[in-house]
Amino acid sequence: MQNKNRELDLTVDLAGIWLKNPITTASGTFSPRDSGKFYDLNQLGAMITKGIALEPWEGNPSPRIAETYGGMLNAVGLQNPGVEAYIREELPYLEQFAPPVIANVVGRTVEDYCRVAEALDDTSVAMLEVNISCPNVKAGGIGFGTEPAMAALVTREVKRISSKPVLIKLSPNVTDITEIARAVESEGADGISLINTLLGMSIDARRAKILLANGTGGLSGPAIKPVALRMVYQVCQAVQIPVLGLGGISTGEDAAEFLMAGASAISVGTAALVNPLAPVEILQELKEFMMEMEYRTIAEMRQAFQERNNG
Amino acid sequence: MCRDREWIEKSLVTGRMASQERLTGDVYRIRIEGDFLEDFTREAKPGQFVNVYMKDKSTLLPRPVSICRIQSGQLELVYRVVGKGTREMAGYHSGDAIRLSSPLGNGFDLRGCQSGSALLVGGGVGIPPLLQLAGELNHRGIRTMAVLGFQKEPFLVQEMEKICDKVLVATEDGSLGFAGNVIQLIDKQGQQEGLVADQVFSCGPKPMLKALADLCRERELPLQVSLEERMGCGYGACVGCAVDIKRDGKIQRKAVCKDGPVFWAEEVFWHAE
Repeated sequence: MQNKNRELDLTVDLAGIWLKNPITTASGTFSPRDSGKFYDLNQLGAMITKGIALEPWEGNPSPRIAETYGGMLNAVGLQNPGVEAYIREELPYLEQFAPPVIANVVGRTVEDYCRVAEALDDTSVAMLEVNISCPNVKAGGIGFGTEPAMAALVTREVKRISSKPVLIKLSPNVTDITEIARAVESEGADGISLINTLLGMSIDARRAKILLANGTGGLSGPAIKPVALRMVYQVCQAVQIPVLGLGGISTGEDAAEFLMAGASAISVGTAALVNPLAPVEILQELKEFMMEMEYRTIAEMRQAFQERNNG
Repeated sequence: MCRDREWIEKSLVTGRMASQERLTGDVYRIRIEGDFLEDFTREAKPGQFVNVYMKDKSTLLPRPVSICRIQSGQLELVYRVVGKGTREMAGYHSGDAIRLSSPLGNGFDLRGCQSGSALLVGGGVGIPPLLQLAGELNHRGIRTMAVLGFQKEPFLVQEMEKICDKVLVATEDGSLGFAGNVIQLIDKQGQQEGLVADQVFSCGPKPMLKALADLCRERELPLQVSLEERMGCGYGACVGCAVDIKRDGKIQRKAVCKDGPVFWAEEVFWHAE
């Protein structure tokens, strides 16, 4: 009826940062110069960049990638050039584009996280996303994301150093995701993003050999979407702070599901490896979906879901 | 909102299958048509590859396939069926749609190729990109010789013979040409066959490339190799396809898809297999 004539408003607020739409790029699946060869990065809600450590990390040996049914395993090992190179080479390039930059931060010690956060504090970065969860780095990672006390400690220390809003990115490889979510909320996290990859492995039966050089890797892609959606829903029920949802989102309707579950915004990850244009195609599909369903805003869409599911 | 910016240089395109033929065993050639070929012809460099996007959505990742040749308004890809994705490709028929990326990666460095001679060394499904390269070298008036190695049944030999000044074939089972591998052939017959060149280009299995790298180092010949690795995205976003490269006095992990697939052999850190 009249709804059709009302203009779509896709803007969202993510932990105090205004995004013109809820579509962001998941860390580790987005390279500004390379992704930007396929589409105009100005179309994105926000640009979340690859995990940045204090020093350069060389990552794991090859093979680092294994395809699985409807998904993929990666054991890239957070290869990155370090925060100094990020500030010198990546940020000036990103500054040409309007969407806010969310810098993903990785570390092997609490001090590592803090020093990266400190280095980024005087930059154009709008927000931090602290990766306490990546399961494919043997040296640390896993401990922070799987123990509430460690997750809380990292959150507290990074918040103490940083003047930027801080998202804590959670690992799904835990018994109770809400326990970790509450722990980081209580230490002042401005938001939570989830899920990171699920720990998995792959065997090449014909060669009778483990496929990834690292042994295990992180599972991502459509195969993990139901798990991600369930965890996003549970966390949204458990905490008051905003949630950035991700995990296998490949279509506009997938994005709508996460937004209905309570996510303030979403990230497109593996889908962008499968199709470089996925973030902007998903944005377009989300618009079409909302127009078809006659939702004018993201909040309206979420409200409809809440009303039909006992809010 | 979606403004065309000068740096938006890559895209995904939908081509039409013109033909599918089995060259030998599990090696197939497809020919693809489409409006985009005008751009491809202008932009594609020998040694680049395209991503082929799968129709079966359980097969998530694109399949990188090197460009074999672009001619008569058709893009030719030659591939071996090795798994689910390439099996899907082998099932494509004339008239089917096929989704591809723009040419990706860096091709062979031809800046030093203004005159003289070149030797191309190919093994199995490493041979296809050498066909496009041979055409370009020939176009530049460079004397081009090729040594092609196969496990058993050869393919693309006639196509290479049409372009190259000389083509030698080695088969592991001795069914055609020299019985053995390309390295043994070059070792034993190189001199009498006049295999002298200013530059060497190669694509094929890693042990072959490594042995050729040793040979070229001994003879002080510049060698470029096209490498293969399990890829994720194919365009530099995931850094899934790492290779160890010696540069500036240290070993750096480079992406085969974006920094390669062609590297100078002297820079490659060859791990023991």
